[in-house]
Amino acid sequence: MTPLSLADVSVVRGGRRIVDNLSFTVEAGSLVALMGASGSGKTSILRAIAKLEPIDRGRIDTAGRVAMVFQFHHLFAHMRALQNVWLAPVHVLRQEPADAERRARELLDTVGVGHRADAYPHELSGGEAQRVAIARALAVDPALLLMDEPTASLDAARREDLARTLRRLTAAGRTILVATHDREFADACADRVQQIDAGQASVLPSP
Amino acid sequence: MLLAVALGAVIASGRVYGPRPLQVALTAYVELVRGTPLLLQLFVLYFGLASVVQLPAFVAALLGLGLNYAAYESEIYRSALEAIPRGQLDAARTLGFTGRQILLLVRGPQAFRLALAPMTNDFVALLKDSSLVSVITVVELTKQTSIFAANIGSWVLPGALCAGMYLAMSLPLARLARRIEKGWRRG
Repeated sequence: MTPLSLADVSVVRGGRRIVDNLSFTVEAGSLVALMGASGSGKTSILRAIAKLEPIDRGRIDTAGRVAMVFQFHHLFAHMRALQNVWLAPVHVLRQEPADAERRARELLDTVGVGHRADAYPHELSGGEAQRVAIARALAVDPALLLMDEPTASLDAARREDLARTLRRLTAAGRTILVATHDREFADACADRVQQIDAGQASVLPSP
Repeated sequence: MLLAVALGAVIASGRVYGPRPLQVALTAYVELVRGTPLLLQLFVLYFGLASVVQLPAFVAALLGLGLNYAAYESEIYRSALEAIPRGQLDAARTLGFTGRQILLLVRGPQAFRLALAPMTNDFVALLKDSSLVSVITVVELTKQTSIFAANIGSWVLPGALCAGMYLAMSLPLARLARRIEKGWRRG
């Protein structure tokens, strides 16, 4: 089963149809960039896939757990980076705390912020917070990782770092759907671009 | 204080998470308690209920203060819970936490930080309002002071001693709260 399949999905917000009849799939181990102008419904689609918002029509099928990295990260403000990462494995996946903490350290190392494990979210830079958020999402071993505008607060060098990190993750078998308006970033890391404009979806050739 | 905190937390949770009829009932309770004098509530509990159940004065005092302050506490907790950014809750939901886990692990601890300063205010106010229970025959610190003052014919020394004792109870509380807040700020 493909990690994600959308069929004729429509989303209406505030009386306005912001997504209309959107259909696409994301294959396992691939990185798909969902592109469109501001207000084209990219975030709404991600939130609907993550079951944070309802859809008005159509069908969304996922093959397992879906985790999401938000544009503003939303790390738990009262916890250090490390605890942000092991919290869900311990309380949701019922892993042993020592195992979960060890794995959390590995994940923080994987995304390049192992040295910031003891920092609180407000002590992290935007790029570091984003990496901690990625580690936190990966800690629940999701079948699909969603990322909302991950380059919004990154400079060019950090954007390249992130693209490399995401490529490494897909090479390791992760499936990722990234909502972005950054064509350069999409070209650098995506296997495929899913363009949405004015609520309609169209498939563009691979970069 | 314990009763006010525990009941306040239950009322706040009911108002934030409960079904609509429960929210309406709890809101009505809070408004009723906040809108009427504590003195009147103590009279009703001790004298008004006497025909149905005669509560010991100390129990009526404890209940009166606890039920009254629970209403105020609940408003502090409710506003603190509602002040936690939606994104924190969304992040927890996408990680698979249940509603109860989100409250206990994510929303509650952050709300507690916001609530601590106004809670401390309320605790100090409760300490001082405890002097009101003398109207239902409970002999507490202020009442005892007035007896002592009447006996010696002067309020100067008893008044100063009484004030000192109230301060000795309230200042450490405020100091403890400040230390906790400072620790959180450093964190």
